[in-house]
Amino acid sequence: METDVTTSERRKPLAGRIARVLIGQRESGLFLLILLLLVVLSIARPTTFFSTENLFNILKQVSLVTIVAVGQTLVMVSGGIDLSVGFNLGLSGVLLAFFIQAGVNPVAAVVIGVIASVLAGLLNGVFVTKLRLPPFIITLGVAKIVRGVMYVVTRGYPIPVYTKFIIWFGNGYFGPVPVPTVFMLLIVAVGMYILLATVFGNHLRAIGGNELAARLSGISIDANKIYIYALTGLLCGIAGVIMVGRVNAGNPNSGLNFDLDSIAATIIGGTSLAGGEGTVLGTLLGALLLGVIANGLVLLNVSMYWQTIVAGVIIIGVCALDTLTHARRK
Amino acid sequence: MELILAMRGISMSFPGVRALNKVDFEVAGGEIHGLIGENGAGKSTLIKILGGAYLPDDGHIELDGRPAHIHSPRDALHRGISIIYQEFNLVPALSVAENIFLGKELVRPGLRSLNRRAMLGRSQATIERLGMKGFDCRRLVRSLSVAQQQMVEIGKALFNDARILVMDEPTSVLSQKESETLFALMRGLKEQGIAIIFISHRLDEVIALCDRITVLRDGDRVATLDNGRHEVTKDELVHHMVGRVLQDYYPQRQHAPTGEKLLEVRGLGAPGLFREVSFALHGGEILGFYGLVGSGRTEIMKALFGTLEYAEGEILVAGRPSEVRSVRQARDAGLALVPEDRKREGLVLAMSLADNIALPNLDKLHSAGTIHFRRRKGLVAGYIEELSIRPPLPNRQMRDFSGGNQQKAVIAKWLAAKPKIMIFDEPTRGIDVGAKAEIYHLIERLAQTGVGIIFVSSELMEIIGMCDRVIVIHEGRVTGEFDRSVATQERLMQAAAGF
Repeated sequence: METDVTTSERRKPLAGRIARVLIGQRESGLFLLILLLLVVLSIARPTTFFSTENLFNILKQVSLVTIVAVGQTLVMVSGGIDLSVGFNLGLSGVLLAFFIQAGVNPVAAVVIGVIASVLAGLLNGVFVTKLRLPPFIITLGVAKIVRGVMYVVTRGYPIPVYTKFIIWFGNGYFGPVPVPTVFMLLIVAVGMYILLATVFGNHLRAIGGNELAARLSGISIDANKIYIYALTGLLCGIAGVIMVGRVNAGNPNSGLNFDLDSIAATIIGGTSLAGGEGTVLGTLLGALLLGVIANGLVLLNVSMYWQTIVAGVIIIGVCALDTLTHARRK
Repeated sequence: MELILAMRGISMSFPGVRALNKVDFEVAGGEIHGLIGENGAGKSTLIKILGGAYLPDDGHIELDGRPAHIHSPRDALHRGISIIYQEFNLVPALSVAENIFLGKELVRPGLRSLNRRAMLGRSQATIERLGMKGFDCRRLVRSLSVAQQQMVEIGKALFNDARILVMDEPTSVLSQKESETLFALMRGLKEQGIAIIFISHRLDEVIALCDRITVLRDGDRVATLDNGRHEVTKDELVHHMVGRVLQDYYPQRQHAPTGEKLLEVRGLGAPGLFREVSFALHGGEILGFYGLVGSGRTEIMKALFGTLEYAEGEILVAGRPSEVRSVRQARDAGLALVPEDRKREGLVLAMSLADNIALPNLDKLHSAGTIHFRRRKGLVAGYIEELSIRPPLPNRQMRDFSGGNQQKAVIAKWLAAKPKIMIFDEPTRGIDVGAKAEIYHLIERLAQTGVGIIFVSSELMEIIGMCDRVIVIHEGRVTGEFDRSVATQERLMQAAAGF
């Protein structure tokens, strides 16, 4: 019976098979949805929306959340979740601003800020593996701690930053391409490579898919989990530096919403909340979808508050659609 | 005695397996009816049909002489059929009274608020009817012992006006004393006219307790014995349970043990799991471990493989004390374990066949962390070919393969690690006959290449058909060691039952 399936798969024409594979993928559905929105918005706002400047603006807008969401995707594929990414992003920015203000060399200050974010990620990983508590609880707790540290350092006020190269991180351009977008694309590429082609990525998928089987295959569960939270911390640190460049200040509140927005992009992109499945490309598309909608609504003069409601509907809608089509296929 | 229940001509097939074949089963009121058979004989399937969890392909059920349609667990409950599974269906965070009234809570008229006092009173009365005087029904279920939880399940069944009570291996989790309390209770219920179907592997209990005993074997009812005077013998039951001939799908035995001692275990023990386990395994030998589910065999294997801490004894691999404390070390020492539960412990179902086979072997398949996909492809293709995994699609998700092919994938991933000692824990459970035969032949081929094999199974026939020597485990201890020439079904069964 099973061999029949094989031969029937082989007999189908190539184009049909390619179409079937594409339709079956979350990524292609998202891609088509984004394309559709681009067409609709281009017709509705031909001059303002469909300009190089605006399109790169969208890419710039989604850069930070995408960078963080790449880490979130890898964490969620391994069966975890990281609720501390928002404040952890703020942490590196606040610390680098603090140290620059204190007269430390700006490059050293950047390094200190990024290392602090890596350490916070490391803390997540160590607590998750050694205390054997759910990542939800640990990262929520670490988020609070990080937030508190930021308020202690800044007393609640933003610290201005005037250093040129840091501002370039946030607002510079390579030709027409914004610097944050370049960082984003590089990090997305690295994330895709990790998940698809490396032993580490393979181990993450195995741990998220079936932790017991992974352990019985000789995979070190704890080490892999610690690495992944630390790596996510590193990405938060990088995003934090870019954020400081964008707003010219280290602001303890700058990471607000990044945790839930990164989770939103990740699950719209098709990563399973239960772990084991997910792609970085999907996450990028998820973030782009939200970005295009936000941008389009602004250009259509819809109020910011409505944008939030639309984002909520999108999250539920895309995921429900996916579940429904999957259910029908079965 | 009047018949309460008659199941007539019940047949049921699953893909590749015939679970029940025209089985007749009758139970009278006020009777304790034993239902026994080897693992996979069809007991659970029959009970699930009675409980409405499965619909049979053929046959029908009569209650009180009239045809009854049982299409769902709810139907069964309404008709007075209560099944107490080995895993209880209680909500741990609720009290005993709340559990008993779950789904049919009493409310006060008007505001429809919960009438806790009435529920508590009636729960209390039900539980005390079971002889548990002074038991507080306000206690949370999670604070109760296993035996007490079982009582609550029985209480719940009585409360639902159960007339037919099915108990699936109720004593496997109880101490001797708790078991006796349970038996006294069962006899009391029998006096009240309730029919009890008692499933157990412990033949002594079955003989002491049951009025009649039905034996299933390979989906057939082979006998229903009258045990009114409790004089049926164990030998008689064992004979009915195993009485069949060796089938020819076992391979021709061509391997020969080399005499080289690959593994030696001395006085191994872990509290509450197993103790004083000693044995040796030689190159090219197939060593059987026979014992019932829960006898401790799986735990012994896990200790060898470094995933279970043992408290005493020592393990020697190739003559040297083993320092295996993790799967990685075990693999490097030349050990491999094909675990009992392939879906839970063996495979990552969301990953592809190729991913799964490569998983424990990635160390050999990468440079600087990047997987060599071409090398991986070659390795995977080789094992798909060697084990004839069907369909031969390396990128297909593991969950889409049949049970037999999933099992081959688990074997493949460990074969690729080139083990010198390979442990198979229940390698043929739940797979069809064709795949079974392939796995037997594969094990034979491995033994011919000098690999030492430990073959754990609760199926007597395959143990006898495959092994050079058989070690029998009962309640965590070695209760017999038999050479192939003297390993008869009766001997093994007796050793496994502990006498």
